[in-house]
Amino acid sequence: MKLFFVFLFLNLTFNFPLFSQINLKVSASNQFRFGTGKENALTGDVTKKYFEEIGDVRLFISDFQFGARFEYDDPIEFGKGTKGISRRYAEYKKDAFLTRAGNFYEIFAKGLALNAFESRPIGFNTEFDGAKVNVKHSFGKKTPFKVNATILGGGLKYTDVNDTSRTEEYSVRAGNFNISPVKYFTLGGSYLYTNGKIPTGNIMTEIDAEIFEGNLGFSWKGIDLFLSYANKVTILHPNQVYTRSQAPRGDGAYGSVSYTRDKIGINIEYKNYRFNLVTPDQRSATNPFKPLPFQNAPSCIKVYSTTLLSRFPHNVDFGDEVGWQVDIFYSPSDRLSFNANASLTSRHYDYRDADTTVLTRYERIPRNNSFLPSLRNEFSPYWELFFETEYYWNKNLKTKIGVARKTSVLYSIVDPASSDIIRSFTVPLEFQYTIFKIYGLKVVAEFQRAYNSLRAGEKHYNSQFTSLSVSRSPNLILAGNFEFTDDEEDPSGKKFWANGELTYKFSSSNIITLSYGSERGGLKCSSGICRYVNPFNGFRLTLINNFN
Amino acid sequence: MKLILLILFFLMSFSITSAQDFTLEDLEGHSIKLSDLLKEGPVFIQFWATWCVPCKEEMKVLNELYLKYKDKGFVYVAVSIDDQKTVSKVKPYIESKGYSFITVYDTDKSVFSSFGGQDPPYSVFLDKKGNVIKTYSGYMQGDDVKLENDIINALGIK
Repeated sequence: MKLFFVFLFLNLTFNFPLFSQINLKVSASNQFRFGTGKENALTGDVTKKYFEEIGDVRLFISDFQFGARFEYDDPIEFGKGTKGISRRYAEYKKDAFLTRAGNFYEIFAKGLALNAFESRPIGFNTEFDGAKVNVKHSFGKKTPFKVNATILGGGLKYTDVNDTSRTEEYSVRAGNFNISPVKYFTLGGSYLYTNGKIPTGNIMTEIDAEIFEGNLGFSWKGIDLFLSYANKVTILHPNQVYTRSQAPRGDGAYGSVSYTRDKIGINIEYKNYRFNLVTPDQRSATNPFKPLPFQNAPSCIKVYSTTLLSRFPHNVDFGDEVGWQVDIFYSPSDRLSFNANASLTSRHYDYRDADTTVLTRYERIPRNNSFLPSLRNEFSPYWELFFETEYYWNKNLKTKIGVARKTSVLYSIVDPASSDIIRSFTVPLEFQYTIFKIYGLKVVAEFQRAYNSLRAGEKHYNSQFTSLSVSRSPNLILAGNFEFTDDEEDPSGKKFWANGELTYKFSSSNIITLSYGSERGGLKCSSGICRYVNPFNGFRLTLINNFN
Repeated sequence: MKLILLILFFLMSFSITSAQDFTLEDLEGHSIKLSDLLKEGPVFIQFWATWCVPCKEEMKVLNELYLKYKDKGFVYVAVSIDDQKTVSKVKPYIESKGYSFITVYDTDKSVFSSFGGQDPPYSVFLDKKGNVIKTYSGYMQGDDVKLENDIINALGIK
């Protein structure tokens, strides 16, 4: 009851005429998720329930902003749950000056040194608790000399997305600047220092790490170039697990060049991440020299939005990966557009067992062109080709057809014959028709032929996904999703999945979604970080509210 | 549970006022300030990403509406929330389509979250004074009718 009066008081206070004289604004958003059913885990079906309530409130008073997030997970679907205030901050922003105390995310350049973010669908969160200051300024008017600088300090607790019992703790101090001294160029740099505590079982390993990053940008007449290089040193504090002092270095480079002119846009990206080049037996989530959880560079992999194409994503290893991606958009007319994409990624080196006894001692096989990815299985390559065309027959009818070819290899040095090789050929189709201006019909059909080397029996199988939805603008969508496979060894033990979904908008920004049925599950990724999501059979409810 | 209901009650009983100002860089690196755009007329802010299919469908519709009503003062700003992973594809996509509206980068999603955005497409429509007329979550076929009506109302066209 006390709480009720507190809220009533706050409510009346903010709506009282006296306060309406002050430049006061409030915005809030709320997300409620509930699910109950069975999850098909490897060990058998288990009951699954989740209840997540997240409310965000932002209060703006002139140049100040105050924000808080109330979170109540009982339990959370993925990641580590919270009950209580999980985010709070105070921010002052005036013209080109910003300072914030409390929780925040930050990205420096392209993220080679720092990219802290949250991806709730996979339970990933690298939110800082501390303070930051950002200043932007332009000197001169005709050819302005632009400066953008940020300094920050704080701590973060990172819970491993694949093992929520592991929490790494970091204390970070960092700075970043970016200047534009002449018209077409930008120059930037970052420095980051961290003290981290990384658990290995019950033992905590302490590290100190420093990252230096530099970048260069160039933009002229439709050509945009960006280059970034980062160098990291990690100093280990010896303990029972790591008994001798070590201070290995690692580095990473990223480059992108894009060319745009009327109707065509081409983007080429290159990555060369060597932050932790280690022998196969040393690759581990608990390795203290691994890339830090808040180091998240571009993945140079296409992000798909269709179901079967998203099924075999690539789990990027920011410690050891080299590759490129080319993406082309071409729109010869308002009605017709094409998108083509090609990418290739692999590890830098192959390894051999150099021990002549029964013991194992891996040794890197030298390679001159390690700055290029390799297609050989020993390098765990991942490559894909994608082509899609979209055509609007008229204002009411749209069709889309694509074709994609992917190959992914997870090489086993212990037993090459048991390497995980997945090849897939996918054709996604989409048909969209609008009737009487406000009624919509959408059909999505995907066909996939796949090969999985780890299947004991038939290694080739087919999958088919069909989604049918009807909508009535502005507030109602009914959808049915059906998936079929002839794979005899699907981890769920099933061959058919079906679910129905109802979405209703109470207003333009208040939505409820109800779904019931079975979902196939699989690997879910965000920014190159992946977790396996088990197949699910049951009921889900999502309620999204925005109060602006 | 009581606590949740109380907080919801508290949030829902606010009547909302104007939006906060922001400055973001456009595709050419020029600073774009919201308060400057509001001088031209009502501003429709669409938060989108290159990987978001409904965002691009909505963008096509909004571009047509922008071309139709820009001379009457309608301003459309596409705010890209692409992160470091896909941000380099924003300019090639926009320019290959020949879109002429303003596109700005919000790579760290700070403006997106300050407007209460959760998932794209998410849009906020502001009147000339900067007051929030409406917010939009998601996009479905046929929403162009509703969007055009909202633009006509905001412009005061009879």
